[in-house]
Amino acid sequence: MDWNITAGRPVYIQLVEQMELALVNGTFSPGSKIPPVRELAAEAGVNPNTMQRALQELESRGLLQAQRTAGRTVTADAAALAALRYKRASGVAAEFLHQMRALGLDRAEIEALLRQMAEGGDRNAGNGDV
Amino acid sequence: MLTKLLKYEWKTTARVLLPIGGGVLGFTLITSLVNHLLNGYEAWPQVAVWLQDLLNVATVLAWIFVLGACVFLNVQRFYKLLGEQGYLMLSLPVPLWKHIAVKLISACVWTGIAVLYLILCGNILSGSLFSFSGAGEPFFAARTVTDVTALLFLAAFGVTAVAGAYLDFYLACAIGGQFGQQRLLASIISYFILGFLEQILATMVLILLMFGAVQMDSLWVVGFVHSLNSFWMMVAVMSGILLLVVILDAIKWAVTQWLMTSRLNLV
Amino acid sequence: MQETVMYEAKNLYKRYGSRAALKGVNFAVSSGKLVGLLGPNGSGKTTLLKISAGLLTATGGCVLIGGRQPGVYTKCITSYLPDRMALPTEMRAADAVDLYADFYTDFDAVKARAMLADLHIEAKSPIGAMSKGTREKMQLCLTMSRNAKLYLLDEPLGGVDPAAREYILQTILRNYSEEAALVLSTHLIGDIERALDEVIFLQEGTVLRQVGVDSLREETGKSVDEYFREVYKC
Repeated sequence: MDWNITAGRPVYIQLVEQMELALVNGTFSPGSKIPPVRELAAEAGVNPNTMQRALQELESRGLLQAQRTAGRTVTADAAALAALRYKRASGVAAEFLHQMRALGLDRAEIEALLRQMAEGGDRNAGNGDV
Repeated sequence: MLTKLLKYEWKTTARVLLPIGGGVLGFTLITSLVNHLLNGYEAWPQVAVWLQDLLNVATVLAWIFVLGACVFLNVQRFYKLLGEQGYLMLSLPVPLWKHIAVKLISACVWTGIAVLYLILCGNILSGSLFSFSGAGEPFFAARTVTDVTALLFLAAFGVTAVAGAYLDFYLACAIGGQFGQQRLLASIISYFILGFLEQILATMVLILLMFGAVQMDSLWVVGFVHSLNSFWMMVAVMSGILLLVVILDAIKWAVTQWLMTSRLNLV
Repeated sequence: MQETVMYEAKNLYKRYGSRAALKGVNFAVSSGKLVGLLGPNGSGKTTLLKISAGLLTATGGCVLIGGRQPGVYTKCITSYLPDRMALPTEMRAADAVDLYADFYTDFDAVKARAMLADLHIEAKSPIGAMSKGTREKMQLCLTMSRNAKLYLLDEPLGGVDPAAREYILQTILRNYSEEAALVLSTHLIGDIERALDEVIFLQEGTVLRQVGVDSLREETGKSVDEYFREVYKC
């Protein structure tokens, strides 16, 4: 998977976010085993302790499960993953609405714009000077 | 650990010295062959004789080169311990005295080999390869206890003297290593100063001994000497001198080791 | 994770003639931590690591590794990467591996050979004939093939191209033993800060600050790199 750790924000928080994304979009499919901490850390170029902390956080929220033999698996609980997806999507939607309002669009205009973008697809997305 | 260190030291030094030694040995054989051919006849032109002389001089110079290379390499091996290679060698989990011991053993052994090598080369050139008429004779002629003892003492003197000479170099390197810059220069200057100091010391000791002998009623020494037979006198005198040399060597070693443990300063 | 101090400096002084390189350095590093030793050139990083590796003697104070002063014992458990090329150029790659295997009981020769094979280094190739970058990587591989309790890496990322930096960082992260403490010095923190637990800022021979990377990011909203530039601005 692609990791993108940026400056300014704690690495740990960014790792949690990006792992969540990987769980939601199926990079690590439900019930499957995820690579060991050290491997993930090396891949992301981050400290293994920080990766460990991030995975423990996900574990405590029930998204990952520690296996007694070693290693961790993604939860098979579809409801938990759906809830996570919904939570992340809500966050993005809220941010979107916030920015649209900042640009002075009202609810009807936002809905119209969204519909137009979704139907028009790629053509409109290209010249994105909003 | 000591044997492992010795193994690496041997490998590294042999990689340089064996080819040089081999090359010069080959050169000596050629010269010897030429001598053999030319000496058989009187009718060669003058030029050939000159060339033959030249070849012989070059051979002797090559021997000196081998000896020089042997000494230089062994000193350089120690000097390098205080340079870049020290970063690897001195971070090995080995006490420092073992590093010094390995360098010293290697240097003494190589010097011994060089001496035997030169004897061999000399014999080849003089055409007396298989008749040890020259240097070897006393060893084979030695029969009595006195002879053997004397030879053993001589050998011990040889070893301690060679070790002492190398320890002088090492001490000079260790002193030079105290400086931040110009270490090579500092080492060379220290070497000469050390030699100078040793000479002054030796002279002073000699003068004091003579002075003391005159001042005190030194007749007891004469009496002591007379009370011994010549064998025990030789043993006593030789042991005394040997002890002195060994003590001097030990002092040099101790100072070198102290400088390299409590005042180590790798650039 | 239990916090046992693996490596510490107590009021460490080092004087070169009249110039003081270290003026009372204090810090402690626990097992399992990756720590960056940061500071501009001349701030005393190399001096500190050389004293810790037993290649230089301190003028005052002390360094303790596993509770002991530098000596044969600490050299057994410390894997040190100097800031220069120390492998003898007359050796071959295989000789260097043998040397490490002979002297360090914690050395994993199989791992080292595999790492050298990955770098396409032939066992018989003389070290003197390798490029500078290859030699540096080789030295790093040997250092990281030990299962040491403390790794001291002096400028492992110094002066190499970005691809090599990535390789070196990966090599360090994949190979250090997990219970060990690792301290690496650098004057270019850049993209390696995310690999570190903590950073120690050195300035003119004293410790300016020792802080966790994430707590510094949380506290300042900046990366360690940005903070570093600010601190050492003038």
